[in-house]
Amino acid sequence: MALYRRTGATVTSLTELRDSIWRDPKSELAMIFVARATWPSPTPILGFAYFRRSWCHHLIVDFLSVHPRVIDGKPERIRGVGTGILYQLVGLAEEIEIPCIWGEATALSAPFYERALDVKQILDHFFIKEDVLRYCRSELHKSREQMLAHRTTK
Amino acid sequence: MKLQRKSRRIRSIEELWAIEDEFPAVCGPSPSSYAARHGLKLSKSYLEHLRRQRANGNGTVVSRRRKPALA
Repeated sequence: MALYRRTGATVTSLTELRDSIWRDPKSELAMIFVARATWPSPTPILGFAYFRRSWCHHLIVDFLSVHPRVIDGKPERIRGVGTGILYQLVGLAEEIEIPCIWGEATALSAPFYERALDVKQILDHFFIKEDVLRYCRSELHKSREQMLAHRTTK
Repeated sequence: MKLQRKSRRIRSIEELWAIEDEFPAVCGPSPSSYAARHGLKLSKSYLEHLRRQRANGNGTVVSRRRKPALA
């Protein structure tokens, strides 16, 4: 990330990302997604993803992490942060018409990706595209609707 | 490799939350391969962690943390 910052290849907002792509369609850009609690919480940052937009308009997921306190479930139980961040990447891909998100999977992360993407088998890499991307998009939209419904009924 | 979908059913938000049980602390490349790829140094504590992992023989690390005394 530091190397990308030094070369000015980082963006901090969707507008900046759009502008950078407009200026140079083949630019490689690095960014971090931060998941924050919207309520007063002892864990204000719930997780993050470090990812890049490649020269051919794909997203590459380098790191996806959830705060250790969230994994521990202490002092409060918060669910869905990892899946939420992954689905937000799908949301970003939809926003700027990215057709493919890919990343490396390890022995530890492959089972999570298999369940999150609802696919049969993931080996050492994954490609979220075509029908898998469409499926994740539908789940993202449905969960957003449920969250909105939940919020308005409270 | 094209990923093969399991089902076409859109899952409920509760089912999506349950996926979190599979979440490892970090999804990303192993620190060694990441450091090699980007020319970074591995920390002393991580090298020590790897050394203990190898010494243990089965890929697991025995915690060095002190256990609380039984009452």
